[in-house]
Amino acid sequence: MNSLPEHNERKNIFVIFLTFLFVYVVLFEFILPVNKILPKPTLLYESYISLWFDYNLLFAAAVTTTVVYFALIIGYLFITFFSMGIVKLMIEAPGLFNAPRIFRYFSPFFFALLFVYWFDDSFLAEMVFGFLIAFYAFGLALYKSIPAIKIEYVDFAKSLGAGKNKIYSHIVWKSCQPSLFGEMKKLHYSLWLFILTYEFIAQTAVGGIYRTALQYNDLAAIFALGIMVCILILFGNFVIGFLKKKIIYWE
Amino acid sequence: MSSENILVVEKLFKEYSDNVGYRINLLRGITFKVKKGDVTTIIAPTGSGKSSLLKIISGLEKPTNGDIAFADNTKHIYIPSKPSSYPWLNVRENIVFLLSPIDNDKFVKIIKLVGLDGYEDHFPHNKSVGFRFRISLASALIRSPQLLILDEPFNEMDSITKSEIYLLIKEVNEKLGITFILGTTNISEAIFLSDKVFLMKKNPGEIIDEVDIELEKKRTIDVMDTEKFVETRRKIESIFKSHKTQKLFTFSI
Repeated sequence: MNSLPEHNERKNIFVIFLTFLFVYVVLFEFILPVNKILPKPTLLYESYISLWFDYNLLFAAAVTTTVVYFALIIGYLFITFFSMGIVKLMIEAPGLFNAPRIFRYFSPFFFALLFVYWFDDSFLAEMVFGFLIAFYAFGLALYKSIPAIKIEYVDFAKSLGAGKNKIYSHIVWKSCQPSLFGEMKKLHYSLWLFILTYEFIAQTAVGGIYRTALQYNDLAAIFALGIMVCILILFGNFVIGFLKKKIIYWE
Repeated sequence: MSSENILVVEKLFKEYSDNVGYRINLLRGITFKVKKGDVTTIIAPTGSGKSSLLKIISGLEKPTNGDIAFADNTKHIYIPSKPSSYPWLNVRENIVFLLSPIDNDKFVKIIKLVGLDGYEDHFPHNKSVGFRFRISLASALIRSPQLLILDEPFNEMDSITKSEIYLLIKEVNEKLGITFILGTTNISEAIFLSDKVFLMKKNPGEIIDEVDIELEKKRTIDVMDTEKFVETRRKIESIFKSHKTQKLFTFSI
């Protein structure tokens, strides 16, 4: 059940949203129907129909969401599956994991350009690009969460006779899970950004539609697409939040 | 080692290097014996190396020098000062953690003894420190140890929970005959629970004296108001005070 402050916060957001919607409709439908700032609401509605048929929105959205969520899920599963080995390496050879931190200073835009240059508009390459970002982010989150593991958990397990492997799998991995899910929430936003950028460069899927709409100066399409992506991110965020509550029930 | 002792610690030293490379003597020449079936407490100020000493005895840390000898086949378990039950496991899973096969009769007996009967499916993450300590104690007891090492377990407990846990420890000690070693900064707590206390100073950690607690083995909380209890407390306080004075005197020379 939601707490009262949480409920009030949601109510406030809803009221603000309705206010903005009202102002938008009044301002751009009746007062400023022709402008270069925001499209007319009725035009926006028509634009969805055009996006659906002319830009093949359904297929594009399917590709983009598949890449984003596939990367997120596979990245997480990959870390989970190899958790014991990765955690062991992180504790016993931390130097190995310091080296890839250099990638923090590279913009993902650079890698997107490289990937598009190497693989053109390949769907598989886009998947690999998304997976690598997710794996790197999860790996880094895991690495950062290790020093925060409560030493009393490890000491008590050792005292109860747990061996190294049992400690890694039953305590270290479990202790790292809240930060991994925290990372998943952050990564969800950034993956959408990176994948849309990748597609914008490669001119495929939703990012590709953005580019085409920009080339045709189709403000209504850009705006309509923005709303659609926003709804998809909102829905994804809700699902991740729900999963976090179910899986990390002790937080 | 004589047959009445369960543990003998002899000339234990622990040194470490701090951030700038200075060698720090944490423990110096710690020597003491623990009798089978006794509750033995180490009273020491914060930062004296009490936890390190208990961890060394438990085998979780290594000493720089010295000997630790247990009586044959002594199974010992260390319970840390902070709650150590796993929040992602329920009470039952915590108690039987990594245990196979599980003796159900023993589980029922232990869970009743520690007062967690009926809470088997509860999760500890939103429970009190006292509740979580009971889980840790049950996890230890189900493994039938001969020696339990408790590192300041009462630190974050309220006074009512503290009294309940004191009595629980006394009950476990009497009913199961388990030997306890406790580390604490609280003199009253040490007197109430123990058969013998060792007083330890800091910088470096050294045993400065030992006091036998001459109270009846069976105790209730009311014993804290008795003349004998107050006397023992005064005695321990005066030992600590005289040692402090002595140290200041040595420094002034």
